[in-house]
Amino acid sequence: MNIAAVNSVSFEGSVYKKFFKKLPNKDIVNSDAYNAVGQALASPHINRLAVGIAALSTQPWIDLYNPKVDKDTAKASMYRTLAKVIACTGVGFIVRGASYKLVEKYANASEKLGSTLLTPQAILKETSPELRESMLKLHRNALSTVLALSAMVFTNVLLDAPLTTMLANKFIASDKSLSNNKKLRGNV
Amino acid sequence: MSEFFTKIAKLAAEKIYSTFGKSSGGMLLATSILGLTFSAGAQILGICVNKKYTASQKAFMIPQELGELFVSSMAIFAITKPTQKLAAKLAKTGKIMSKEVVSYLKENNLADKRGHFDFDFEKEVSKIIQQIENSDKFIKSNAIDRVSMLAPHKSALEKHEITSDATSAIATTVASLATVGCVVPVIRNRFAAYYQQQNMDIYHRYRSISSGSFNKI
Repeated sequence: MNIAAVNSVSFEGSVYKKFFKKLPNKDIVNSDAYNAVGQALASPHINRLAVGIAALSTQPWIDLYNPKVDKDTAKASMYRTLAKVIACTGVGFIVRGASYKLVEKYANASEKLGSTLLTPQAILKETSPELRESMLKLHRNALSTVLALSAMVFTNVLLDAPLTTMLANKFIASDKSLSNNKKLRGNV
Repeated sequence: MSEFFTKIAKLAAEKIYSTFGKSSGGMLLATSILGLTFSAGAQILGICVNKKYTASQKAFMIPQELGELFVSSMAIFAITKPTQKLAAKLAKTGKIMSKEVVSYLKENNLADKRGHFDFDFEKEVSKIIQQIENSDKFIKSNAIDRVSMLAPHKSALEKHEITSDATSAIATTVASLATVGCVVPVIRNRFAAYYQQQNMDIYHRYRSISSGSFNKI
């Protein structure tokens, strides 16, 4: 593929432009509701919950009806996916939510609004209220994500994985049709 | 002690701001992939030590987890990032706009430009604000009148920014839902089923060697 061909499909390329032009203009009638949904989804914990619900509603079924593997593997994989989604969504929601709340509490635009412990000097010195607010919003998102990730390095190993194993084993034990519950020669 | 922690927290906040404060895109990308890697590592460890799974199931589940890590990481570049860019462009050009801001466009004779590829709402409004600020009427008026002259334009800018942020969040979430709900499980399962067979062949060969029946293979 030559450079011109690559450019034509790239973000600012002609294929993209043609696609963009075909999209109609869309007026948002109820902007309050639209903005509320957007704001909720922008917060890391709500976003994690939404993604978890999507995973819970499709992934176990896709695993169960996987035609490429035998029935026992499909079932065991479904139970593990179910356990993993429940464990990871639950832990992820709590860790992200706690990080976000912590940052919200300690990163404020001024002392009048609350603690400024985690607010950088550049934001505190900014004189334009609009600019200060948008700088603070970006900083809060970055800080809470870094904080959540740091915590999740530990929770992935200490909580997610053991919780997944525990739940998966419970689900598997409850299904008597699975060969896992019988003595298996291939078990390791 | 608490003074020490306060100092550390302040330093960390300053460092994170100076690194990611102006653009969180790179940070989100790096943290997403790091998070996925840690998660996959922990899950693989969990599968390896779980005695409830058979060897055949482990041979499927480990590549399934690796497949998920690979497909999810690729999906960030192939689905999430392009969707984010498209959403930003739709908001910037006014393809997606609140009714109040559409009315503002009509009042300021900008409605014809709405939705054009090169239209930039913020730039256009900034130009209008600049023109007002340079006008004789604005220069001669008092502070209260100045604020009221600029108010509708600043309000439109603010409303548009909030809607743009919402559009970006909604579009990114929809892309993530499609990825997690459909793309990742379908591709990772195909990948895992292929490697299950390969892994089981290696497993049976290893068992044969360890039980002294190498020559019978």
